[in-house]
Amino acid sequence: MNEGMLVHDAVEGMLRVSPPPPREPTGFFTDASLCIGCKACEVACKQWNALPAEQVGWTGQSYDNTSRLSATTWRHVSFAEHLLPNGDIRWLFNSDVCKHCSAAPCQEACPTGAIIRNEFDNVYVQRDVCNGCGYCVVACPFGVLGRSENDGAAHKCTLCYDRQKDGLTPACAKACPTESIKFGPLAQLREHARERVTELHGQGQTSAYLYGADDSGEYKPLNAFFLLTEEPAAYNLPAAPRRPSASMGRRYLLSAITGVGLSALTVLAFRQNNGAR
Amino acid sequence: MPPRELPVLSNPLHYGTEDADEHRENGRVGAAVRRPRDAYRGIPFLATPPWGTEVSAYFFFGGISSGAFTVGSLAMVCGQRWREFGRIGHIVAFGTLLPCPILLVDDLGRPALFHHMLRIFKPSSPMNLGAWTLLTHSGFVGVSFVQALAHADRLPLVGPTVRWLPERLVAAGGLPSALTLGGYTGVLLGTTSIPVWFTSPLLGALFMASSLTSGLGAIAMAVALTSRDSEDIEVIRSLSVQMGIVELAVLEGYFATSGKSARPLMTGKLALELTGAIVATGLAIALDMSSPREGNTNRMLGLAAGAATLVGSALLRWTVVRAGSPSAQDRENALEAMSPSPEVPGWGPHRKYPRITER
Repeated sequence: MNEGMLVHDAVEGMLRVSPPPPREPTGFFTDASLCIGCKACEVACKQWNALPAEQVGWTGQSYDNTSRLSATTWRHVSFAEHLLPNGDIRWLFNSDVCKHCSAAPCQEACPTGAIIRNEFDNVYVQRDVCNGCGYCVVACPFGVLGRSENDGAAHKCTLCYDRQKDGLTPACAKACPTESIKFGPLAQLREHARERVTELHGQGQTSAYLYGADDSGEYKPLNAFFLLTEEPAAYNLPAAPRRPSASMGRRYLLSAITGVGLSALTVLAFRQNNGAR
Repeated sequence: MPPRELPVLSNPLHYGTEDADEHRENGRVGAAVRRPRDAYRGIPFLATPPWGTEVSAYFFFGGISSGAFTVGSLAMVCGQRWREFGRIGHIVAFGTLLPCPILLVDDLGRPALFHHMLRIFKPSSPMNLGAWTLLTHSGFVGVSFVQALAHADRLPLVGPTVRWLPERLVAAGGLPSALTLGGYTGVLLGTTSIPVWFTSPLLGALFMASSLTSGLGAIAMAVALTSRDSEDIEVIRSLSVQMGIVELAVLEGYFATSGKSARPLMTGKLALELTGAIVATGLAIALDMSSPREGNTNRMLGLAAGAATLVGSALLRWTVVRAGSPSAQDRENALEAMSPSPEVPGWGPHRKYPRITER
């Protein structure tokens, strides 16, 4: 990189342009009951977003060879082998992705304003603004974000922002052969998801439930939510993620009390010995 | 006889072998597990913190600078007798602030874009607030440092221009930013999803206490090395005893409120280093409490106690920051730390969903 580029990069990120007008909020509804573990979504994502391959090989636990989301893996098909009481083996699949939380810890943590909500209400990392501080990496309760070794910046699913702007479906949803990954306006997706749960329950699949479709106390709904049939941990998801910022005020308060208290001790010590030397 | 270590059978062709039979007895066939939640056993769902030595070092030096400025300024405000002492505090605050920006920039994935931290003002992000706090603190430390030099007539040209600004005004004005700098680092770690950092609400309080003790420790060393006044040192020594006890009490509170999430700090090398931090802080308290004997002036004791305090503070920051990685990788603990509670009911089969019938 020459010096001119450096200056250009340094200045460009500081500029703030007015955001485009909001569009209808979009999201993903990933239906694990329809996932066949083909990993077409992973491949389509890598291909469209030009993401490099990571580990090639089995995890040693199942046919999962990605094992987790990262800076260069934005879709991950969890692949679990479950031994049933009768000795049969059942596979549990789910295509994991950034949850595009409606109150996103990564976005709240980001000190540069690189992480924004774009006009589709998706959580988006502005690559030219991110300075790679890594705070979003530790803020996310799902371990979605990673800091790339290649460029030092944080990366995650963009919900195919570029494709959406051109009216296209995100690459993973487009590639999914069973329509396990559904993309669309959030309101429609939620409606459809509830209908799907009712349908499954009617068929006797009573373990089906929605992960992230509604409020969980301090944690707000996920704009990319899931239909699962086993407890969240089976898909390596936390049952009740905490929202880090919810307890921030209390932390500052306790810190301030300690600071003021110790300052008072200090003043007392100096006051008591204020006499003649 | 301990159970034999079995190879993981991820290939269905291995089914039906003797190993597979034993796996079946243990509840596993191939990689299959009886409990679905065990399928990802050992594979963490949290990302490992990308932070290393620079961050611990920044927390350490920033803490000293914050504490030294606070103690120095409070002394200065307390009366004429403590003016000189306050100036020493401000000089220490300046010296320890110097490495901070370098460490902060070096820690970034894209150091050339460090100034993006100041692109917006976003106090809801502790890191953004911290960047602004550091900037403000630098301003006050810089001015008070120049004032201290001017007072000693070390600055023939700048001196007269800064003397019109009352020292005590700068000292008092810089207190809010100095105190924020001391505590925000712990709040920053707490406002994450890493169990060892977020479970207890006391990390900000702990770092605040540690900042003030280490700031006072650094001043104690500077005073012991430069001043001949043994009375000053006696005041510092009794104050450091009180502060050290408060710090250890907050550390105890941190462990009490962390529960199992503090496990990374209680195992292996980190446990050893944290014990070192506690021992060093305890040693500092003991040194400050002991009275000088023959051949042992209180200046020497103050110097040694200050050094021990700094060692304790450095080890504390180091272990707490390092503990983030094993904590993120401890899947079982992370699942437990994010298990349903009345405030956060979560999502899953445990919830009685009104969703089906009530629609």
